[in-house]
Order: sequence, then structure tokens, then C-alpha cells
Amino acid sequence: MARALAALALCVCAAVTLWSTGAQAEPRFALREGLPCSDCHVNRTGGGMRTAFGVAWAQTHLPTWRSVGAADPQLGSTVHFGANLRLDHRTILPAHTAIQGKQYSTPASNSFDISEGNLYLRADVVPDALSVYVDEVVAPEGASAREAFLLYGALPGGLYLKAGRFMLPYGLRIWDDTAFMRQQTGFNYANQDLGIEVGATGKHWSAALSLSNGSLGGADGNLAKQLTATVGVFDSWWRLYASAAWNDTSVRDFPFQTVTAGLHGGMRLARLTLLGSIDWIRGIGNPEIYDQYSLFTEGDFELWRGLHLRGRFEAFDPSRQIANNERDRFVVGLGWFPLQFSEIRLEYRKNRDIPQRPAGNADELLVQLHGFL
Amino acid sequence: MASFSQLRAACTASALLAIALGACGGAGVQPSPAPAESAAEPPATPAEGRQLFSALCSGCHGPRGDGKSPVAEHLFPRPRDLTRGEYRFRSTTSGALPLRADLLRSLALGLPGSAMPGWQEQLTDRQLLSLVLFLETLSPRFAAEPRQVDDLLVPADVTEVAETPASIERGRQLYTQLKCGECHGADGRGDGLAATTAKNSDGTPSHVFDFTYGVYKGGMRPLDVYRTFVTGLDGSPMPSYDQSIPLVADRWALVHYVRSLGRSKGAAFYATERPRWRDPLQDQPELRPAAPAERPATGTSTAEPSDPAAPGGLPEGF
Repeated sequence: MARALAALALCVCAAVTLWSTGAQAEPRFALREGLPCSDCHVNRTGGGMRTAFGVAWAQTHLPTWRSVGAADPQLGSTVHFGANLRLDHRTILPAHTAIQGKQYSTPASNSFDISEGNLYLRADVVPDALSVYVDEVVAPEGASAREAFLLYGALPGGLYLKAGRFMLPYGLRIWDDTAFMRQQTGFNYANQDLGIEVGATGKHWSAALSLSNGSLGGADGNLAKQLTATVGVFDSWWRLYASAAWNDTSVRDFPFQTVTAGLHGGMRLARLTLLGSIDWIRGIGNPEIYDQYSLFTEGDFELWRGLHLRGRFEAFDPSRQIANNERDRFVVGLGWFPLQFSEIRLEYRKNRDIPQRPAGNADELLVQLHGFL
Repeated sequence: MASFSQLRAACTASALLAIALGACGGAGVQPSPAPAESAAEPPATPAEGRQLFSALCSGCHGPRGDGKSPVAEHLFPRPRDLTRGEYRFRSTTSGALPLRADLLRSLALGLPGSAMPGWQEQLTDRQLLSLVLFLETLSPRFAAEPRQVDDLLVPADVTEVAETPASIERGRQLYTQLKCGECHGADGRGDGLAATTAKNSDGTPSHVFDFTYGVYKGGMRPLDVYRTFVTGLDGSPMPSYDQSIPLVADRWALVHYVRSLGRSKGAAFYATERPRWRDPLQDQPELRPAAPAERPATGTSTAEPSDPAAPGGLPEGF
């Protein structure tokens, strides 16, 4: 049954990607509007602080109701700021599994947590040409810079240059770092890197290439660097992107390289937005080589203005060389933007893992309050 | 169980977010005071409009209002170059500047089917007026060409003629007689022969409207479509039919016909979403331009025109 569902999801994903997107940040919004990530986010590859257009769009197109008062997140014309906070209440339901007569179980629990707490600051040092950008994590742990870079935005040929610490340009940059495609590829909000990135956005395409340490934001321990790239095309109702990365983390007698590649796409059909991603990860050691796959599909149907019904299926195969070790997850939920800059999210997650890992089989109920600017 | 450091971090984050949002509110757009306090409310000013424009409008129209922004090439239709002083959705004669009420209507309700949102729910009347006053500083036309009484072509209180099967049929005949199909296509799908070569005044290709879409940027009410026919859309190939359709009943018949082409679920969706238009200038006649002295009012050719020359000066919304 699981295989059949996985195959069905694969077909849907393939159809989606063949027809269409890949995007970052809240990719379904970019897809819904037929816009590149850079229109709404200061970071040209998505996520983090919103542009003036992104702020205006978020407060006029998303909410069910709008109260009097429009956001003006700027001090003069030079300094702009923003914020993001997600408060989660996650209930983990008890799970019981058995294999060869042996019982495994995990108890129920619930907990409040701040899954995201960030402050953004952008200073337009030279208008339209040079900006200093900082995305500071202030919760749930101590303050740290998620991103801090210089952005040269008016280079010849329509190119931009990003230099500093930033999220690497790979894949669908959805908010949920627990999604397999985010968790397992390593391209998520917890992992940034130091380096430079060049890119450009055209009327119907965008591309980015980065050269970075390949050490998850730390100092590099070898001479090799990580290369990451994404390129894609988009239109008013579809998009298709391809991403790839190569990293050599070899240290002395421990050679190891990672190759990651993925196709990300989506399409909009009236009020339905579909997203999909297939990612392949190859780890090359000596002599060991392993291959991993992850699959992500998501549908978002706008029931009414600001109220979204969402469903997701994702799967992860941690090693193609080992049979029967796949993990998958079904998610159904509602997302509601009652007023501008606020979201309430309710999700039920059904997890499936190998029986020996009961925690991986525990279902979850998530209630999330999200405020952003 | 959360550790002390996690709790501390959470509290810090909450405080910082509250400060940020508070600062945003402080630097941002404030709701107007309660009606009882409105007597002390400061008047609308271009300076306030500039601040609002920078925060809310520059993302699309560019910081200088010239339509040059990073998102412009991805939006359809492109954001307007407001420095040209050329506005499509007006109630004035072809080539004339729009009334303040026209600008207010577009700002308050937005342009359905485009990226332009309506701000009526979030901005106060004063703030909307401040924006209008600032928009008028972007083009020298507003200072050089004082608006005239006889610019008004479609008063806000024009009487609507009821739709009937006969009026729709009459509208269909007019659609053919006036050769609307040369641009808009025989079935109103925007695929007429001239559609491929039509250009706007700035040289960009003109997207001929598909009536079957049923969502009208100039407004969803029959009066809004009527206004477009009578005034034309400055800057686009769509001319004014003020002279070509002298009979008011015929104008409404054409409105009824083209609206009958676009009665889709999408149109109903948009129509129910839009709030009813309310003219903020109704209560603030002091914000209307002064009437030129000794100038007779002409040019209104509606069935029951308001009287611009009546005692009290200009018609509502001028």
C-alpha cells in the first residue's frame, strides 16, 4: 500500500514538475502570483525579509479581513526592518510498533516551542546598488546571524552579487525544516554558509550560483569549496527549476564528497496550487557510496480568501542500497490568515518509519501562530 | 520541559518582536482617531502622502513613481508611470486630468484583475486624500492644467438604466455597428485583427480587453463600465465614445451587452469581494478644486445629468 501511494505521489510530482516550478520562501505564493522569489524577498533566492512589494502584497492579498492601519516598516528611506515569529504547540501522539514479536512504543507528549524567531534589518547604503542585510535569529536559542551579507544589486548584465553568510540557492525554501527534502538535503534554515553568490532574474527565468566553504557556516578545513546552483523558468501559472550542489568535505584520510540534485516544480489551477520536488543525494566515501532520495508533494486549495486547505505527502529513502527502510509522512491541515501579517496553522501529521524507531511512527498535531512583517 | 536558557531566549524574542512591531506601528501608518476626536485631526498633506507612497506604493511604482521597480516587468499590467499624469480611469473628457474622486476610487478599491490592491480598509479617508495630493505632485500637469468644470463627463450620480434582454440585444447591435470587434474580437475575447498591433501611448503593446474575463480594472459596477465607454482610456487605443453614442440608452445597452459576455464565476467572485464605493470627498468639499469663474458647464450627456453649474459649485466628487 505504501509503495502504491508513493508511486502515485511520484507520478503526481513528476507530472507537476514536468508541467511546471520550484521556488523558495513560501513557494506556493510565488507560484500563485507567477512571480520570482526576488519580487517579495530581499534575499534574491527567497526567504527572510520582505521587500516593499512583498509587504504590500502580504497585507492586501493574503488576509481574510484587514483592519485599519498599514505597515510602514522603514525608518526614512534607508533603513528597513521586519520580523518573523512562529509559536508552535506540538502534540506527539503515542506510538506502538512490533516486529518479530518485539514491542516498541513511545509515550505521548506535548510542548510549546518557538520554531522561528527572527529580526531583519536592511540598510540601503547606496540606493538600488548596495545593501547591507542581516537576518538575526533571536529565538528559540541565543541570538545568531542566520544571514548577513552585502548585496550588490546593479551589476552589469542585470547580475547581482551576494557576499557573506547566506542560505545556499537550492530547492524549495518552504518554512518547514522538518520536511525530508529540507532536512535530508541539508539545505534548510539551520544551515547557511559563507561565500559569494551571483545571479540574475529575468522576466521569465532566474538563476543563481554560489561558491561557499561547504562547512555549514564554519571555517573551511580543506582547499575545496562547495558549488551550489539553481536555475529555472516561471510563468503566470507554472514553474520548473533545477538545482544541484557539489561539496568536498574530505579531511586527510577521510575522503568524502556529496552530490545533490533536484527538480522542483509547481502549477496553479484556479484556487489550487501544487508543488513538487524530487531530490537525489549521493555520498561518496572510500570505499562506501550511498544514494538517498526524497520526494515532496503539496497541494494548497484556497477555500476562501485567507483560508487554505493543505495536504502534503513526502517520502525519504535513506539508502537505496538497503531495502525496506523508507520513511514517509502525510500531512493535512488548515492555514488561515485572519488579519494582515498573522497566520494560524493547524496540521495533523501521520508519520511512518521502520518499526524499530517508534518515535518515527508517532503522529503529531501541530497548532502554530505566526506573526510576520 | 524547556530549559531556563530556552525560556529566556523565548522571552527575549517576544520582547524584540513586540518592540519591532511597535516601532513599525510608530513609524507606520496610524489609524485615524475616533470620530469624536476627528475635529483635531490634521489635514491631508502631500508630505503624509509621500510617506505612504514610499511604504505602500513604491514597491510597484518605484520610489520616484515612474513605474520603474524590480517587480514591474513581472506584473501584468505593468505598474503605471505616474509622472506622465496620464490616467485611464477617469470621469473626465479624453485627455483631461482625472478628478480627485477618480484617483480616490482607484486607490480605495484597487483595480480588479491587476496587482493594484484597494486600500480602503486599511487607510483612512485622510490618508487616501494625502496620497492623492502626493500623486498630484508627481506630474507637472496637475499644476499646469487646473481642472475645469466642463472636464466632467460622467458624474458620480448618473442614473443607471435597467438591463433587459432587449437592451442586451441592442448592445450587441451597437457592438457590431461601432466595430468594437476590430479590437475586441467578434465574440469579445480580445482577439480582433487590430489587437496584435495595438500600442499604448508609451509605445508598449496594448493588451486588448477580453470581455469574457468579466473582471474590469476600472471597477465592477455597470457605472464603471459605462464610464470607460464614455471617457475612453487615456494612454491606450480605447477611445471615448461620448460623441459616437449620443443616446444614453444606447450607452447602457452596450454596457449590458459586454457585461453579459463576462458573467462567469470569476466575475461573481470578484464582485462579491469588493466593498461598495464610498466617496470620501462627499463630506469634504473644501478639498475640491476651485471652480473657474464664469465658466458654463457643458459636456455632460447623460440621461439625468447633475448640474455642475448649480448653486454650491462643482458636482460631487470633483
